[in-house]
Amino acid sequence: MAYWITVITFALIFGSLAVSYNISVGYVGMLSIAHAAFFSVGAYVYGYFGTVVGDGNWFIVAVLLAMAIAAAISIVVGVVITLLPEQFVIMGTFALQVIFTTLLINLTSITNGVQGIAGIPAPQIGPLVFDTREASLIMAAALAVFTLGLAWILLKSNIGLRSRAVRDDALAAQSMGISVRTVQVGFFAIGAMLAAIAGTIYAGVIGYIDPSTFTIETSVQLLSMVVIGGIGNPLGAMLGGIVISVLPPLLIEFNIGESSAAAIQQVLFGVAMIAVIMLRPRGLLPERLIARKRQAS
Amino acid sequence: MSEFLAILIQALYTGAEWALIAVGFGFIARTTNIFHLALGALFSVGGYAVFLLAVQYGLPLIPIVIVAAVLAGLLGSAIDRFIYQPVTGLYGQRKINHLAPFVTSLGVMIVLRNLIQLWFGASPIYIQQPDFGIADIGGAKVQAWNLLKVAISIAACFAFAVWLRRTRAGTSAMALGQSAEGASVIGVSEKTVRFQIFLATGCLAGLGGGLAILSHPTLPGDGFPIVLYGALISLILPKAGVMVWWLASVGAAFIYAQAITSIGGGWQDTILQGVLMLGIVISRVVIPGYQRYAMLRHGARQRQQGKDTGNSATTAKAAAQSDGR
Repeated sequence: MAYWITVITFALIFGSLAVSYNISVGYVGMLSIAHAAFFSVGAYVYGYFGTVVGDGNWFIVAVLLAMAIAAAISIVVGVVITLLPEQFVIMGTFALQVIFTTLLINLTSITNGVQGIAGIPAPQIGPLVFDTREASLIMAAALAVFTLGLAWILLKSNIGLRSRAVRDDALAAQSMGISVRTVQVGFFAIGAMLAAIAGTIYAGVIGYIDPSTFTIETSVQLLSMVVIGGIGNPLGAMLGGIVISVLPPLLIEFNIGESSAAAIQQVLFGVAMIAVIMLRPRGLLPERLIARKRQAS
Repeated sequence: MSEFLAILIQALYTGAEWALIAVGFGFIARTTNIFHLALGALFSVGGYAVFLLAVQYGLPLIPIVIVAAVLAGLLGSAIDRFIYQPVTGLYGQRKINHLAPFVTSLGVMIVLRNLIQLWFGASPIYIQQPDFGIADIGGAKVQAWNLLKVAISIAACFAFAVWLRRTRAGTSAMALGQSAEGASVIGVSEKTVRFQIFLATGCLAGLGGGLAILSHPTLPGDGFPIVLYGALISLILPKAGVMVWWLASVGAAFIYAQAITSIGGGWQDTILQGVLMLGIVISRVVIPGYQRYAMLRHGARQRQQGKDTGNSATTAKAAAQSDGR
């Protein structure tokens, strides 16, 4: 039971991460492949503050600082990549992700290189210490509710409508007076900040981080979560995140070796991505369902 | 041997491999608008096919490199036929939605790479380098095999360029790149041409993998960073010719080798990616921006000249034209 509580905790964290990724990919159509980089910002900021500077009490400070750093990076990067044609956004963020991974490996004075940061304390908010499995699950669930709630509010608000106008036809949106670039960069930054929050909680729950968690593979995995779950629908992204996060522990249950399980998991991701795009291009929980429900109501 | 010459030679060896992917990626992006990231996996397929045929079946090296390249080419064509074409058709649009082929391309790459890993394991594999002796270039002693590798890479890219310019299939491919509608009007079969394009570029990628595994240890995921470099190189110079892409790949490999020598410590990826991204920003943002600025200045100058010379009808008309009115 304890094992599955941990599995669900991480599934909720990665589900929240997928929802945050969906805000830039699904809402404004910015296909970034650097979301794991923003996730790493949160994890490393809390890892550094929790072990080098202070302890678990620094959690809130780390969250705020991680959000600020992620926002600053995403705004700078967003402003540059929105100058480029759509397909260059993909390649530009690919490059950003590779650069980030190299920085995590080489900035050893802050990140401790490939050895990573160990002994990260459990997060502490005032008198509350999230140092048990159950407390970690509650924290992950709170993150999931917060991320989903924010994504839902964004989706339903006027700004959400604008974002979808930008995604579906940027030229038409611009002719209606919408500042396409502001909307794109804004949503990209919101997604990055939420990813940074997820990163801080991930570091606090797992207690150890190293660069291998924040590679381009993680970014591609996030893309597969959103594609499989349903681009544009926060619930779909959450579903995709949970399903894909639960898959590896399920494979291990079938007594497949750990390295084989990882490779089989990747093959299944790839096949699922191709199959979903070919057979159900809008994912398992498509955005259209929301529109239909709204019409019906 | 001077340090510069040593880095240049190393860049030639590495760039010769990268170029075979950059050329394929750039040409597919130009003609079909697809970012064929799976070329990275075809690179690995070529390499591991050479390993399988050479080590397990003991076949001679040169024929199996050719067989491996053809195998990768056929796989590339199959990927287009059974994955990219239906995906683009699903959207019911003539103009391709970039995201669907991109996501499926990523999916194909992940599947192939991990299937290779499941089959051969995650450890690097290596085949003994063919021994063609040592060559002397300006006092520098180099393995003749590495020179042969560079020559094969140049020859393959040159053959690809000749195929594009001198054959009906090649000119049809170029026509498809200009305009799919126009190409269909003059009787070009898009499916046939795409088969040939993906076959040829897959062969190039497979050849790159085959040459790589005969030169240094290779991992199942090695094709991924190379396709990323190749993509960025070809996107900086989207309208360039095949041999220009080849030279650009060697240039990128030179930066990479220089970074290893000068800075070390694993910064070479960051430095190369940063330089290539800077190149894209310059070629796609700075230069077009400057051209627009120069045109506006030219128009303003013409208007000013019109005023100075008494605003004659001719100069006023020229100013209006340059102003876009």
